[in-house]
Amino acid sequence: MKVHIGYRPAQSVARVNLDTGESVIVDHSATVGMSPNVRLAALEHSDRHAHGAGAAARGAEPKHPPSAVAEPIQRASLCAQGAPGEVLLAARWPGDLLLLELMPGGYLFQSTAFVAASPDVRLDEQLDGLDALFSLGATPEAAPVHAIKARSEQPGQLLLGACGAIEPLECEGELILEMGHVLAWEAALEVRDAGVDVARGGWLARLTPARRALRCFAGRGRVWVQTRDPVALGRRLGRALPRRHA
Amino acid sequence: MPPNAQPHADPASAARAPEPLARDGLAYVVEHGPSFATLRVELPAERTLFVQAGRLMRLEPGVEVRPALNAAVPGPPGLWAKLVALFVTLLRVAFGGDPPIADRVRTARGGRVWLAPASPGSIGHRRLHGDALFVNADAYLAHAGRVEVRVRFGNVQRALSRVAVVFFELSGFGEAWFASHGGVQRIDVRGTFLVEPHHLLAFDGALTFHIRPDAGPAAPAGAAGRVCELRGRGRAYVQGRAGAAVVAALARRDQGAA
Amino acid sequence: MRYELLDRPSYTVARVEFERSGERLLADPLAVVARESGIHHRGPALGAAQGDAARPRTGLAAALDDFVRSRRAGMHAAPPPPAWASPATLTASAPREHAFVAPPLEGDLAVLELEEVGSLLLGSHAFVASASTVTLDGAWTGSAAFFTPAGGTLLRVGGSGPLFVGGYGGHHIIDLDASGYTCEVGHVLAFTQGLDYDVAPVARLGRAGSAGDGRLARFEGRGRLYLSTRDPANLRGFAERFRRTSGRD
Repeated sequence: MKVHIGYRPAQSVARVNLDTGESVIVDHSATVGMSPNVRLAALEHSDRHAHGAGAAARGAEPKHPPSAVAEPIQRASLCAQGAPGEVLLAARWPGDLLLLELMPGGYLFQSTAFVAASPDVRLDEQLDGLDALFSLGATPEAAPVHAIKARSEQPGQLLLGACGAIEPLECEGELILEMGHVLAWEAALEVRDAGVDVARGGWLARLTPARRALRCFAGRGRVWVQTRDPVALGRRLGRALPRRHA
Repeated sequence: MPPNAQPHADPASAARAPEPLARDGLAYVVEHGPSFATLRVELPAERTLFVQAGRLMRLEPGVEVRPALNAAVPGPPGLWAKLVALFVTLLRVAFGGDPPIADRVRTARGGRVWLAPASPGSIGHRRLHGDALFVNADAYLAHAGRVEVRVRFGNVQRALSRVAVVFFELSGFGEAWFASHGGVQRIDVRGTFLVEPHHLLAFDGALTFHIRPDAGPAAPAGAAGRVCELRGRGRAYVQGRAGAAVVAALARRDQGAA
Repeated sequence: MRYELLDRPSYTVARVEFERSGERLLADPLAVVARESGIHHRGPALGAAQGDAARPRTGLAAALDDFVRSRRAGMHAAPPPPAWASPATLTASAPREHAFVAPPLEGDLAVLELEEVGSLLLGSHAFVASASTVTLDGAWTGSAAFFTPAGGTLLRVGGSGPLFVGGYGGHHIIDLDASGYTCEVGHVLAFTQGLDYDVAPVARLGRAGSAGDGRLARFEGRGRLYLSTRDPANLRGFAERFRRTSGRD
């Protein structure tokens, strides 16, 4: 799997070249186009339980009912049959793409960012204690995104789509970031609440919905920041759409 | 000073030193411009930066954040003005738009903050010397100094509309930053010029504006069939994209599907 | 008509300058950004009932009524226009008047001179503007079969003059030879007439509307395929997660 990223930074598209018989796991929304010998080899529905990205399709009901905001990511496997093939992949929104080579510790990333991965990469979506990472303050509206952990015993690649430009930050000590802008981070980093006070803002803070999820990254490692917040984008668009009839 | 002096330049802006500014000014850098600009402000000790709620991206440890009402309405200050401001705030909250609520950012020992606008586009800066600038409320990003922010929503009728266009009138002494959706076209108005209201990013206080019906009986959903008429002599800034048009383009995907 | 493309390629805007009085530009109603005050803007022709519903209503009472209705019924005060109606018209009243047009979504804008590229099939969502000498046919057999109903219709474009094509994201051109190409229909902006195509739905798990159009188009023959690097259906699908439902929240 050779990846070349073009049209950077605003309209990035990844051209993935596959050898004969080679496959790539992609998000359902990521495919732009492909050569005619590339087949959608399998579709699967992640139900936020740990499993290999290349595992066989499952018929399990999603853990979250459709009314819940959190949507598990859906993946397809694209395989070049009979000859080498090419696949074009892109994120949902304008922005850059980030290609990560898997390392032993693995990475965590925002679920909105998943574009593609090598078949051996394990994507773990059931992460204890990390579900509240992206939620805004104490609002009951849970975060519509979650963290996914990517690991692989073999060398593998992970392709993530950012909303906006990507800035890699070296964490040496502490970094305070708004989680919506966090694309990915090395698993060795610890993430905790930033403790930047919201509650002490008085009546105004209680009256208005919390609009930030500030978290503190501690330790040594790298964090990739995206310069636009996809969750805020989705919320703004979704709220402005005509109401859906229940 | 134009709001955005480098429309499509500067790939190496990330490595640039902060803009040196006059006394009282805050040093800042626009990074990742022009497609996805972010703003880094070097905040000296005891100085306050007002940031539109939800636009903070990164803070240095030691920076404090508190919510504050950011906007006043025209007229004399006092209890009535506060009540009207609260009413406008609640309206904007109810409609899912950004309320005129800011994060008040301060530090005791100095520190840096990074801001990211909501829309893809560039960031402009304007120093106010007692003059006024009207900025689309969706585009307002931050301000510092003795800048007064007033909500100009026209009338109750427009404030109630889901597709309302709200402008902030910034006046006084200090600086303000605002973000465009897409690129920016500078228009020197001599007489009359017409702009779809949501694409009107900012304009000089010297120009008068008036929102009126447009385009005959069939109203495009984005603007609800209205156009903003600018009159006088002055500069207007038009942005290439608008959130309301994005929503309308997505909403019309329902038609025919039902 | 002269034109200039600005802010390329991320958020392209076209500055169109008319050369004579009475010259017309057809445009998507959402694409009209700004214009000189002499240019007359006429909205798309609608049926009488539709026209009535869409007419901007004035007065505080009407605004309050719209407000209450929109809260109760989950309706827009102004109904969104249909996926493909006839376009709006900009008419110049004097030479050298100019207007700005841009696609509503973030992305590039290309101008295709129909004399050079020949007849095209164009996704209605990709139509931004055209000279009035360009013919747009949205009612031919097969116009509705390519996209899903929500994705728009396929317009048959002919005539002569500039056609402004824009969509979501950058433009990626594929020149087809013998080997063919497969792509998501939501990424198709336009293709030259004469290409053979076949659309097949991709069975997808999960909710309807949460995925892209979920249809793959297979192209064969010789010609050119214009793709956008982003699919608006994917953005819409993501926004759906945050959409409110009518009734009790």
